[in-house]
Amino acid sequence: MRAILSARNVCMDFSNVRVLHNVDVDFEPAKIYGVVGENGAGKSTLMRILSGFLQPVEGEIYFEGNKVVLNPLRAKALGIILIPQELNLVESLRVYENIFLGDEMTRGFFLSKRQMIEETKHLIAQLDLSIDPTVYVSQLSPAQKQMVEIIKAISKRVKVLIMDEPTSSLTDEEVLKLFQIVRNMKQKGITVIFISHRLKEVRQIAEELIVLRDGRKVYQGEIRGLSEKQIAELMVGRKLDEMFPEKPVPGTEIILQVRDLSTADGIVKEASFELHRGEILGFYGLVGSGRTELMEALVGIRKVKAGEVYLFGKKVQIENPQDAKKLGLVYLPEDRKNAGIIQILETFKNTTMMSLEKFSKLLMRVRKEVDTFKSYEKKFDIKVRSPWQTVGTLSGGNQQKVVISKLVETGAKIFLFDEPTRGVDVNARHQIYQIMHQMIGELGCTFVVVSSDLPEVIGLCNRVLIMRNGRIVAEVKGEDLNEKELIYHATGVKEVDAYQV
Amino acid sequence: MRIKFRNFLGKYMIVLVLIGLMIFSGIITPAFLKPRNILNIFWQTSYVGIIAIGITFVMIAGGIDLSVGSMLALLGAFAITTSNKLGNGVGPTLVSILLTYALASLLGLGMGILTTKGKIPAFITTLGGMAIYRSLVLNFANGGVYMSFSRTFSSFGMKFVAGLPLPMIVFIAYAVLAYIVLDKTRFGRYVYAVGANETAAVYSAIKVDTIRTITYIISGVSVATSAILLSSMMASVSSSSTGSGFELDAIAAAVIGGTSLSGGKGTIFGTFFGALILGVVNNMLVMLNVAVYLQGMVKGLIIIAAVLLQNLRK
Ligand SMILES: Nc1ncnc2c1ncn2[C@@H]1O[C@H](COP(=O)(O)OP(=O)(O)OP(=O)(O)O)[C@@H](O)[C@H]1O
Ligand SMILES: [Mg+2]
Repeated sequence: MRAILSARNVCMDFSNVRVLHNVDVDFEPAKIYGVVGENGAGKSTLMRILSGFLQPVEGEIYFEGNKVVLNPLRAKALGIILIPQELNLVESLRVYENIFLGDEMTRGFFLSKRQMIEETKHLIAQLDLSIDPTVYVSQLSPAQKQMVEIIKAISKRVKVLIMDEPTSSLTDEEVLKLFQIVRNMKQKGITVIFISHRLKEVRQIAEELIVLRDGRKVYQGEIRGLSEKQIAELMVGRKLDEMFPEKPVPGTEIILQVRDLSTADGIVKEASFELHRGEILGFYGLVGSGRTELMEALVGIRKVKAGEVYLFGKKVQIENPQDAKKLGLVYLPEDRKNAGIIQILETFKNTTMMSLEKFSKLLMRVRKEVDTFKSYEKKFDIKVRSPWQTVGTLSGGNQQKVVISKLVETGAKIFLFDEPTRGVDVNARHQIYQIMHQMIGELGCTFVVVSSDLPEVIGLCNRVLIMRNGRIVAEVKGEDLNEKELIYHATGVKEVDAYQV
Repeated sequence: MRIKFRNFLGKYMIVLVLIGLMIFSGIITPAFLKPRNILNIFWQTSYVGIIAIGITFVMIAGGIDLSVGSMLALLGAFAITTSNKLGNGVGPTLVSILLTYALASLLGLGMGILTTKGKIPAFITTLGGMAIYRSLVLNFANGGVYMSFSRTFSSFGMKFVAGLPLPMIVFIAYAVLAYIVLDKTRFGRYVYAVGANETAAVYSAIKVDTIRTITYIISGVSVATSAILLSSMMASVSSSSTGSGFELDAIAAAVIGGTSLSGGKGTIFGTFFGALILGVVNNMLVMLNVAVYLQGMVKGLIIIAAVLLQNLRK
């Protein structure tokens, strides 16, 4: 079949460094493409070029056989729609206003608000979601924001839909819904380009696989017959070890105990749990189940109404993140762009931001900061041109590694990790898991991991607590730690076979 | 190599602009380049310059301070009144200066707490401050002038040290100190973090409200420094005109120097030269006999051009 969208010999430079090398790629109508590659491989950059947000320094783009020079408006007019990796909604506008931003429905001179709200409701219902079209986007969770981006994209006249890591903040439920949409779109003849680091999903949905490595296309072809491991090896270009290291054996000492904790906003209700030294305790649940809110309450970002917290056997009152940090308890936020990194600051300054005491007496010792950053750069394999590169220009996964390095540098003993591998590639994930194990073994650290990634929850955690509607409803460990059991408790519904597509 | 040169150019562009402006001025009015005139410009600029340095802290932390002009009058009036009450001599003068600094810190602290804990936009609190301070100054002098009767107090503002006017020396020393605080200390780092991304700063266990509040205190202390120097030099404070328009000049100096109105960006280096550029332009307008009423327009155009230039470079 003739390609609808093609790139020929596309090259891209940032500050004279080449990040895409002569990429040739073709996309056919009514086909679903999976695009994978390590962090910084150039996936997002290529997609931004294909949708007109960046101009390549060399090479051409063809649409339906004709050479085109794209800009975002022109691409939109042609039906090429990009859902960017870092969400791009206007926080201070309502959901329906965001969806119709730039394409407002009008009656004469006036906006027809009712019609837009109705239309949004309709779209939301189609996806089986529960979002009020009239709430402000700032009030939505990252997953809900992601769904709004998707709705916004499919409300347009679209021929090629590019989704840059749409699932990184979604749980399986929502992923299933998304895949249903994608298949429907294919039926209508739409091309879908899907980027993800969750290889399992890529295998489930994609018909054709494209692999980028260091800015070069190294594979395009059938995905059938490739295992996750084989895909991962195509990405990194060498053989890989097992993904999850052997689970460590936790101690018996209880270092964190939470009793009947409820938040003032009523989202978390009477949560109780215990955490053992050296353990990796998972939290699983659907979007809106209250996992993030519970973590935020523990480090004093969210107001607590009732309940007690014991840390190392002593009752503690944590009013703010400073208190938590002093007690050796730190939180990795789910929302990387807004809460994790400080985009316009240099990379090394992000790494040291929470432990400046260590780097200053009277004056800052920048040399020492840079050296410290460099050791993380090596250990975590952070792809950065120089410690002075502003962190906002790193690829998404590398930004995440920088945030993790910031927390590790505090020397805390208990880490609350909210979606720690969001947008992180297989290889780096593996490294992060190993670092966690190292920290448990050598430094006696303990981890709580909130994750929507089922294989991660199962492969990494000793024990998993499941939340639903703000309550901890179940604990799963050992033999029972499998997908069926987790989804069953998270949804409260037995008929989970729909998942086995 | 090319990148290095571009960075170098970006960093020192403002110095080049200043030099260019001075050469240009020297060509059209040779009197401009007389050492005496240059020294004068530096001197004249010091008062706004010192305030601009304080405001740079506030703006990098994501705030704004519109109250500095009225505050200048209030603190100057306060310094004159207390030194009049305490009488002549070095001791009493020092006491009145210390009291002025204490009041300034208190006002800054109040502004900071209202803005952070009261969750009022800085634009509003400091706009309120601007009105309140001015009205207090006008009220106590009944719209007239505060005169200094202390010979000690009214003498140091005109002093020359090593051939240089004291305000100019203070301005330079103040800039160096501020540079060190902002660029080389932990506090300075937090100021940037808070202004660049408040949410991330909160999650990073930074005391956002405290940092913000301190920047308002720094602004207050800067205004006090300027107020003491100015009221000593003039030996008086006019309740209606002293300090009026200073807030705009100070913000303009910071902005010309590359400070961002949305926070997280800016340098003392930039503000220092931004203030000097503004001073040179003011001086030129006077020397060229530009109609007084049009001087504001020229200044406005220059501010807009400066920001436009910075945006185009990106
Ligand atoms: N605006 C920019 N300025 C400078 N460098 C950039 C910019 N955008 C991207 N880069 C660099 O280009 C390279 C490719 O980045 P890109 O975001 O395309 O990677 P990616 O494959 O999407 O990675 P990830 O999986 O982490 O999202 C990275 O090295 C990144 O640092
Ligand atoms: Mg990307």
